Amino acid sequence: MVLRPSKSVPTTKGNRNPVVKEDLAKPRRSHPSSATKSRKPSNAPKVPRKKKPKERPSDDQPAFQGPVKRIIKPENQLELSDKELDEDVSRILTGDDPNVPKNVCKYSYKDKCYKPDPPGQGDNMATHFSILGTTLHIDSEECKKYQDNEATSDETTAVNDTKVTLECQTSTSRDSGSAAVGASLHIKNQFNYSERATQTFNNPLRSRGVHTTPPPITQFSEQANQWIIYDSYKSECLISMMELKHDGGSRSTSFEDKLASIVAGKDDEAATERSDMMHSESMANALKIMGRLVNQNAEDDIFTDFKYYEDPADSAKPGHGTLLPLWRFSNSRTSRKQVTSLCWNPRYDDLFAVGYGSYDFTRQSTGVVCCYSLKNTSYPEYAIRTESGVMCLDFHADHPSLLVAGCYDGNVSVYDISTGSNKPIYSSSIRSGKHSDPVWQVRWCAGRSSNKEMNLYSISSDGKVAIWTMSKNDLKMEPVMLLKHNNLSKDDFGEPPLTGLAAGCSFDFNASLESLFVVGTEEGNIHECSKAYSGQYIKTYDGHHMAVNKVQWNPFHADIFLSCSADWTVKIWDHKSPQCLLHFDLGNAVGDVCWSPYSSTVFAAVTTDGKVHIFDLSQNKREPLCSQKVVTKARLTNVSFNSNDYILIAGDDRGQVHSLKLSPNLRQLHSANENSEDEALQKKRLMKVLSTINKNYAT
Amino acid sequence: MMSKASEIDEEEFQKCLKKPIVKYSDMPNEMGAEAVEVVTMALDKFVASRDWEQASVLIKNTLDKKFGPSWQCAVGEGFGFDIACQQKYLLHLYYGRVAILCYKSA
Repeated sequence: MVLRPSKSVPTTKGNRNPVVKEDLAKPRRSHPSSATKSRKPSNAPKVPRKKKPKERPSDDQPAFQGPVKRIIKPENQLELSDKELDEDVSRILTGDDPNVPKNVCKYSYKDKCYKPDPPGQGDNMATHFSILGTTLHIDSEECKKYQDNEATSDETTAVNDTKVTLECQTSTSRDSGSAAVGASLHIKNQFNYSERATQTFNNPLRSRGVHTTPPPITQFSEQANQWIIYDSYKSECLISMMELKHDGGSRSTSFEDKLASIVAGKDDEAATERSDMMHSESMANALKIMGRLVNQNAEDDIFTDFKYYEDPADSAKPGHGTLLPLWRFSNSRTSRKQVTSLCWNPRYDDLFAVGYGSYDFTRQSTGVVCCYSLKNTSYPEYAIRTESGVMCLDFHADHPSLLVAGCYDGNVSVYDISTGSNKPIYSSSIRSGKHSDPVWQVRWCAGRSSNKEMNLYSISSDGKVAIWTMSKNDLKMEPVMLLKHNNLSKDDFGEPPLTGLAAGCSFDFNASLESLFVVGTEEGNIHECSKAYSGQYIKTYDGHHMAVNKVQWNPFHADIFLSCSADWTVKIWDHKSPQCLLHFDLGNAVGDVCWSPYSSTVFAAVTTDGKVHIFDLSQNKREPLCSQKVVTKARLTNVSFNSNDYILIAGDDRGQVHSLKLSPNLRQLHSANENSEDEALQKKRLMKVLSTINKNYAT
Repeated sequence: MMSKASEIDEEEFQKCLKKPIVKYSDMPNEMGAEAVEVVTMALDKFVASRDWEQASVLIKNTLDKKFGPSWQCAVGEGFGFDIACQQKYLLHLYYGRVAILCYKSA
């Protein structure tokens, strides 16, 4: 290896080791002859001034001259002439170690002779100094690996240090190339930061308070001293002694009992105070009147309609009538029960009784009898609870407070509603006799029997018509009629004869012939019977195919009666003829039928589709004057005319009773003097109507 | 009255004295029973020394712990009072020869 000192490097003898006070390397390099030039101090400052912007640019004055260079020469330096200085002296530096022997011979076992061994690669190397370093060369493989690791792993302070060393190395070893590598390293300068802070707006403070209601406070004052304490203990002692006597010492002394006794004592006092005023008879009366007044005020329009409204459409459409719905009577107690019977009071025109029960065999529960008045339409005047469902009701004609009820379990009970008590004054029992099946109809006897006892009749599905006698203590039952099956007629159809008794559904007594009555049965036959012959029918009308729900004599004409049945028909009969005079098909099971009290030719019928049908035979012998739907979903079960006003009530199977006003067309009396139209005239009218029918039948 | 009083025998009367007589209470049942228990317990503790002050302190502190703070308690052989107190937190009873008044007021 030959080192040739270039011209730029000052390796000349003259100034080989120039010690420069100001350690500026660059100017020397750019001006190789700086050694000579620097001797002129006036020239020197110009160079560094250009290169170093740190120096002030405005110093031409000698006071601010740049640093003067003085060259210190060692004393033993050779003085050379310029010629000698310019002479090139070449020195060759070889890597060969002159100390290494070149003539080494070694015995070769292969060739079996001595051979010269020339000095090898490593022989010329002498290690003077060796140290394991922590630095890596920037271009080496290891450095790349290390940098990759560094990029993935977290930066720690220790690692940071090595980075710094790396950076130092790069900056010293390379100028341009290292800049890119250094930038990618991104080393944080922990001294290069600026502190930042912001003052935020301070919210103004606001105070808030809430007032709660203070706990309830009581005032209490008393005195306690020895006398009072002594007295109270004494009285306590007396009480306990008395109780000991009474209970034989079984007195509980718990606090609860004492408190209860204190409270009860107070309540008793209060109750006795109140009983004078609030629970008196007069107060009850006053409240009743008040209730009626409030009711009338609340339902003023209905009351006006009830009294004065006449349907103006009637004059335009003769032969058609309408029903005006008025009140609806219902009660929370009866909402799940069915109306099974309706009965107007014979003396008080505004009072009627409603029996609640159930026709459904599987849904039998308790029954209720409610007495409503038109004067108070929102709440019943009287309400009586019964153990079994009520199936039929009847008011006594002479004793208007006596109400007889027939129940589903076969019992018959007599109530005196004027007492207001829930208990019957007479009730049938197993001992005195009772029906074994539901009682479908009860009826008071018009007159009294010889021993001035009141009698009533009942009919039940067990096939018996019974008379009940109210004796002093109990209600005695006596069968009047056993309803045998009329097998002769059945045999004609080839059916096996029915055994047992026919189930009675309804009956009615003739007004003129007291012993005569008709009975409607479950299988559809209507029998005419007499009280005098208990085992036999006088006549049998083979009228209906299904249960006869109601039979009723005409109130004006003693020969004519009406029957209705679940086979959708209503029939009018003359008891002298086996064939019916008229029959009407209403398209649905007929629940009840009722002659009107004011006209011999008018009657009403209710059907299960919720319609009320009104017929006037004198106006139309085939079609009803009015078929009006009164309830939408419920079935109508009962109907009854008021004897005084032109209204009727209809009960449904939802426990509601509807009151309806008849329009003028439905109550035509066909007489100049309406009020004085007597029974004979009425009878005549009906006869006239029916005679035309009879002729029709004949032809 | 005298004739009636004469009927009471002394033994029975002494037995009665061992029971508290609740003169007035508007507390709910369970709470009232508990309060009476607290009172009788405290008085049984101090009845020997007749230190009613200590008894009232004990009653007050116990009631404070059980039913929340601010109870007032007065124990004495004779006193009169006229107080305004929170509803449902008033108890007035006799026990032995002393009268006790406990009430809560905020």
